[in-house]
Amino acid sequence: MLIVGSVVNIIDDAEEKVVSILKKYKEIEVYSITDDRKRIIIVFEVKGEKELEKICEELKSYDEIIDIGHHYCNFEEAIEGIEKGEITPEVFRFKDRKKINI
Amino acid sequence: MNISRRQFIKASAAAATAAAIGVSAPKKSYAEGGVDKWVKGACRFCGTGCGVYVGVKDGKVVSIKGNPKAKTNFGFLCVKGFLAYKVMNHPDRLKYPMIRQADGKFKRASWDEALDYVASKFKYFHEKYGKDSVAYYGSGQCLTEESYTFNKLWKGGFGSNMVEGNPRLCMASAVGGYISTFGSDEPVGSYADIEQANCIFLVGSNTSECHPIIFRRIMRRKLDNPGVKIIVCEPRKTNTAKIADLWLPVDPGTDLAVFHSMAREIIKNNWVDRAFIEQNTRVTDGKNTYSFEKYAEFVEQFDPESVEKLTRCPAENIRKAAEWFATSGASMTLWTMGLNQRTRGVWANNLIHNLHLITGNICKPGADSFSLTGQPNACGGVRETGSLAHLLPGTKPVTNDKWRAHVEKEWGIAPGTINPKPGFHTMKMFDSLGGEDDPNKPIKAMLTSTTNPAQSLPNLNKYVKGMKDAFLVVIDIFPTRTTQLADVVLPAAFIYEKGGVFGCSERRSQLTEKCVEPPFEAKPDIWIAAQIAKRMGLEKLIPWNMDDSMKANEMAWTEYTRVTKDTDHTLYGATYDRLKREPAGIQWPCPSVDHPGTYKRYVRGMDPMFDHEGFLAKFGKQIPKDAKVYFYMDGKNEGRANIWLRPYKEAAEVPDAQYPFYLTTGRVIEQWHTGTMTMRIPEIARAHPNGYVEIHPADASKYNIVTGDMVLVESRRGKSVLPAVVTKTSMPGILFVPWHDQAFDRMINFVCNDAVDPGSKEPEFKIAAVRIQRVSGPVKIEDKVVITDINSAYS
Repeated sequence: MLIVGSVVNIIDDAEEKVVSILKKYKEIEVYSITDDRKRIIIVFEVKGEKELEKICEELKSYDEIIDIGHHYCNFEEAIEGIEKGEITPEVFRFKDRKKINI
Repeated sequence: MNISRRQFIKASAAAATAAAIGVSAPKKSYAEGGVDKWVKGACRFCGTGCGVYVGVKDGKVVSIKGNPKAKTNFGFLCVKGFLAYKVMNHPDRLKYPMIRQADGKFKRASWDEALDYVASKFKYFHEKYGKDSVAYYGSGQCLTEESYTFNKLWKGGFGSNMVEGNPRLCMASAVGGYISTFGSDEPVGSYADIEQANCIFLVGSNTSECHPIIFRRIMRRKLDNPGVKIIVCEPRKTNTAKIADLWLPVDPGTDLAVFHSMAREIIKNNWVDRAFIEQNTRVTDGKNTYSFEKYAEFVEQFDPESVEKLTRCPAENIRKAAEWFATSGASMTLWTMGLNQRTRGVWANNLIHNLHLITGNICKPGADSFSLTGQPNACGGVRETGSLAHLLPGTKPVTNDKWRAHVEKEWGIAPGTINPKPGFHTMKMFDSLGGEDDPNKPIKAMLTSTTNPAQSLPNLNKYVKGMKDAFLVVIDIFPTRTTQLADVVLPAAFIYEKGGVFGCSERRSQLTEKCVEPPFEAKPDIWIAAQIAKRMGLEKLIPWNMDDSMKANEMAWTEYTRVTKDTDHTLYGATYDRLKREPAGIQWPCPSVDHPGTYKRYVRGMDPMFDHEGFLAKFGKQIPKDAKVYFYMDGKNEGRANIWLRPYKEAAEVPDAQYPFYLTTGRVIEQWHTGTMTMRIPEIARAHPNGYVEIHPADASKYNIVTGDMVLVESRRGKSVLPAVVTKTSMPGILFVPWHDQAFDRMINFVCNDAVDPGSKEPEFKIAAVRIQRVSGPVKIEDKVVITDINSAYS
């Protein structure tokens, strides 16, 4: 598991809506909102980076969310898994690859 | 991890993140994050130079967080930097020195055995074939202290300039561009110009994928100031183009015409800065100096309609780009490999600089011509320490008699020790590498550090045999394609296991202190270099051979900054003690311990070199007292930058009837370079586990190709078979392949062109003519290929 501290940058007057969006995710805990009401401090608890990216992409698809910046990452559990030989890469299927069409 | 520990870490993550953006944490104790210590350092990956804090608990790295006081990333990190920890703890790490035996298999050796063997072989080759028969090939990922040490050992110890590094493959054209235009390598300004720019021109750079933190700064600038214009000039419409107001699509290698055309429009509309041009520039073709009117006449041939026919870039877009660039008040250009990896990379760099010079978009806030680097220490480690075949520390040429004498004196070696003749550039070096039985291959041995040439060189088929036949010593942390060809493999420590300095794209050097011990028997490169020196009778030259890597680093750094004390690149004021204390590192020039470092060069009041007596005396410079802007490294000593008359020239190889497609190569956000490290990180490997070829739908339909089909991509030099991704990302006729895949059939560098820029000697990775053929429907391919077996074959 990765525990990641991040900042969600939001547009004006969107804090309530964005908080409700964030609370739908079991992987996210909302910690606090800055005085200017433009930034929300959250913590992710995710299996890995792929899941983190997927959630962030979903969140960024909302007009109210401008950007998500990551600051802090704890990975001690992942290291334990590596040391015990428990963490092995999943089988990847090519068709899963995300395609970018602009 | 138990629940209470998990909750504690989560609270710590929130507290640290809050603190990073200036919000007070609810509980201060949480901000420490349950680690024994946080160690300040820099990210190991791209050239952005993100500041980090590495969290250590029970002798292991367990957390990483951005350094909020870092001027590069302000506390934020991207995917690659976040997950570097898995590299350190990976089971594939090289653990012991190994020597290849007569049966072709590696056998574990002690450090003494391995180092004695390497030293004896080097001595043998020196005696039998001469000092230039043993080469060093380093990396923009080596620490500054390591590059300096190897460079000193070769040039000052062996008397050989056979010293190169992989920045030759990525940054050499940027170096050539800076030196030929401004007289001195590296950018005039800093990342801080991003926040002050009104127009940002991104050329040959998929910034969003390759420099995510820089992209974030650009994005923020745009979001906070919607009037800021973003122009992207790229053959591919990448993620970067998502925030662009204007896309200049071009066929690979044709953008020189677009830059000339923009200059023509700027002149035609009188958007030039006449005063800046008259006071600070000259027009030249390298032989003669001309009036600005001559330059105006020269660019007249590049009218937008003609250029559109040549490049496929719409004429209207060229006009619009010229207007925005010239009239914004502060324009900044950023570029990477798309501009550099070309047979006319230096010229492409010059033409970008031209745009800045004719509009006065240089030497003022928000206006800069800025080359981003792909590696964390290409600038600080290789360029600044002069660890290339033609340079000495301080980025001064080996051909300069005075500078050679200065370096010899500083190094305490006999006058005449340093060879005045440059060694071979990278491609020539590998072309000259071979076995003892080949009289046409004068280089018989090579030591590589932190680089993977058996995967990363273009036109690989030409160079593999030489690497295999020569005596090859490889220092790395993982098995790679290059270790498959090696005779001796030496396990290296990772940056957080040894400490040292990285110098990023914006002339900023940052010290990472040692965080943890290296695993098994891995050793710092600086120790390896010093031990080889010791065994070759050069202990006095490289005295920092102690086990304490931070002490060795400090000795090397202190000497390096002393040798380069009075150069325009001086870091004399960046002592090790100061680097430990400074939260954001130091930007050169920094001539004294009380100097804050330099945000912008060549501007009186900002650049300390205007008043640095040692520099002015040593290099015979006289800067007029009334000069506000002065390009003091101008070779003609007039303080002027060059506006270059560069003719249009296309790529070395363009599509024809036989090879109808352009191929361009690059990186994707999750992978880094040859994937030696990033492919071992499961989350990253899953994202882009294998190479693929992007094909435009129009081309795909002609060849009956759908996504997932296996496609043969073939040039005159080699071929690869890759799965197709049908996408509108690239223009019709242009294929894109990322270059991180280590699977033999998908190593695209077999296909790439090794033609080099005549000035910088950088190869044209970015452009090749290829043909394609559908081989089959989707097949299950081996993905996430990494070399794990040290005894596996190169196939």
